[in-house]
Amino acid sequence: MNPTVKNALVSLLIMFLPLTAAAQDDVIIMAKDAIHHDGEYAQVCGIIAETNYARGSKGKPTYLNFTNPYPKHNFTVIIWKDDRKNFDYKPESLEGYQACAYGLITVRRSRPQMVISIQDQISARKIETSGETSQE
Amino acid sequence: MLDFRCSGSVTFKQFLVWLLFSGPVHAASDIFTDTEALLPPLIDWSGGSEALVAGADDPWVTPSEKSGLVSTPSYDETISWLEKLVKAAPELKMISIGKSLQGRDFWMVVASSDGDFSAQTMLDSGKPLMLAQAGIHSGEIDGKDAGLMLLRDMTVADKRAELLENVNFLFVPIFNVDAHENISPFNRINQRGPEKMGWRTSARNQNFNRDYAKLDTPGVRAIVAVINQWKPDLYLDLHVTDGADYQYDITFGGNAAGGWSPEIGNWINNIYMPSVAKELDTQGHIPGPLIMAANGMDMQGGYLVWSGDPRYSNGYGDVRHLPTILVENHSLKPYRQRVLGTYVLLVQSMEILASEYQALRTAVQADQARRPESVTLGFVTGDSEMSEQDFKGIASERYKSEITGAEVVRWKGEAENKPVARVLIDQPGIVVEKPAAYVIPAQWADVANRVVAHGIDVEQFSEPRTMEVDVYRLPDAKIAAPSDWTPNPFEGRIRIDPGEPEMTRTTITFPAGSFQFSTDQELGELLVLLLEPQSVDSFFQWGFFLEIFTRTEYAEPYVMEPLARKMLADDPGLRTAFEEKLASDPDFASSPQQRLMWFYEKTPFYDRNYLVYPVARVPAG
Repeated sequence: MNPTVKNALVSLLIMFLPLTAAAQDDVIIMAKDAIHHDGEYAQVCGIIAETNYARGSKGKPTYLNFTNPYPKHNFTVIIWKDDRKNFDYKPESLEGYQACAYGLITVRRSRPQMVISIQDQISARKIETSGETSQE
Repeated sequence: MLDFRCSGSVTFKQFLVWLLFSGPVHAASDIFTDTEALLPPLIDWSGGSEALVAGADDPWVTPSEKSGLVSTPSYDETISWLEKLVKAAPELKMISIGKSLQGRDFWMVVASSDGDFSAQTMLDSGKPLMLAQAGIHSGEIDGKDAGLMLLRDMTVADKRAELLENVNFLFVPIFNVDAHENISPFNRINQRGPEKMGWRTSARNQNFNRDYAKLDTPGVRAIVAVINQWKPDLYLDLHVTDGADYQYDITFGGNAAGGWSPEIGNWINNIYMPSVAKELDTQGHIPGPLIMAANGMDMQGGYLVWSGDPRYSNGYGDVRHLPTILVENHSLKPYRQRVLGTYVLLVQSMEILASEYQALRTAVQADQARRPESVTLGFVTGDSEMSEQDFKGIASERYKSEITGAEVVRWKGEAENKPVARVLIDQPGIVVEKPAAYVIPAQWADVANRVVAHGIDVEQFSEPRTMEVDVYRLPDAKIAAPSDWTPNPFEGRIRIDPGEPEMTRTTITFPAGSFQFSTDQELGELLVLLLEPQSVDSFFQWGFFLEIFTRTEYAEPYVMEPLARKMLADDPGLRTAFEEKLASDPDFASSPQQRLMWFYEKTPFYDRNYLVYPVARVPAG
């Protein structure tokens, strides 16, 4: 499929998610509480403590581990390799950023996670002592 | 042998003398090398599993197979063979999980048909994961040679590829690597092969299978890190027995039922054990439960069904809700038979893990969710623990030894099937109420860091924190008396007997950097067993807090004697107590120092931290 067409379709799909972008602002879950929201669409916020682009693994996922590095993280955002083209930046560059991700929370092996496929599903702001930069 | 270099020149007479006296030494050495004469007689064995052995012309024959499964390769030969296999098999990757004290890598083979070679992707795949380690005691190395055969068969030989379709596999071929290279034909007197084998303990004489709680060795630290990172669903620790003779060639099991993970215990006993035993039986092996002769000699007193403490792999797995199987091949069976039995057990463990994975996950989640209000620190035998069980034994007799004057068992090499008693070690011993949390002051960071290394969640105070807590005073604590099983010093540490603790509620300001560990977590029970001083594998009993045994600051008699008189004048009850002490304790009465110390202890000047356990309990509720 043409990447541009696919991006448009993915964007369309996101628009029809149960919550609108405006509503996302009203339903913010902290990463540590995501475990209690299995099966819900929500916006999960926290600090990305570690990123891992697992190039050698099936599906080549990028993991954004919140609060602590694996295995002490309390929430993970997963971006599959096929979806990396939907991002203007390398997702693994978000390590150390404060971020909010929007999508479906699922719990696997007692750990909550969220698969995102387009850049609009995550907003991130770098934590710096002398000011902040953002990737949205 | 005579050292000619030292003598300079040797006369013919000296040479004859050497010949004369060297004769008996040579003859004597035969009695050490003739294994069959040394060990009890064997019952012949053959089984279907013998078809698993690759032919000598197979390009992927393992080094041990090449020898007919009578010898085992060195560390370098093993790693070299594995590197060749991994190069040819895209399903495999070798990872160093740490380095030994002598600088050898602890290698782990990661086997995944999906090419999932990172811990997080493997966990995320949802596929069950089995971890097996061989050679924690390196003389007991059957698991290594079985594992090499299995890795070959699951990959390049394409005989058992379906196993990896359903289960990912982590395999540590040689755990205690330095001990593995301390090789000799004389390392295990009670064992039939391999021809030469490694030693039981590490280069510093530490037993890895006594180190799971205290984490002194880089090897056990490495495997605990693997457990934390990779989160295996099933953990196999592959050993070989010592002790009694019986027909079983492979014995295995979890910690005795009713331990720290009852749901996992049920899965092991009711699902895993019957399935694996059935397949072993089909393949011609003789599977049995873990067996320790209750009388240390034969089966006349039955056998113990043992609950290991957390220093052991199986006790550690039990208390941290990790399904763990201790495998003990029977040392008197030939190496070939033991390796093949291990192979069958590994295969069937993967099969049952795949087919009964959901039931296992349910059991694990139930045990991980347990938050008991009180925690059992160890298990003992009860009053109604005995039941008779059919037993595939070996006929034996006892004879009186002219050497020891005591009875010694002689095994006859004949099958003898009859019921024997099972002595269960599954009744709670000491039980303590679980606090909400423990606080380890910043100055004991070395202990706190070991707790963290177990994967236990921690909060470190960023500033001083004043808290109402319970603290133990241990007035009777002392260096533990040595026993046959636990000498002292033991494993490089001074073991401590905690005596009967006294608990006091008090308010303490803990310095910034102190560590608080909540018991409300998956590893809460492990935390309790590591930090309660009455727990046999607590850091306290392993001698990590020896400093509290030194009382500091002193009272000069010219200060203390007048103060004692004032104290007596001020408190009639104290005078009565003093007089009673004088009357009842002649040593006390005759010792001016003890008399003054009796008063000094009752002043606020006395060392407040003497015999006080520094780890505080945060009260529950």
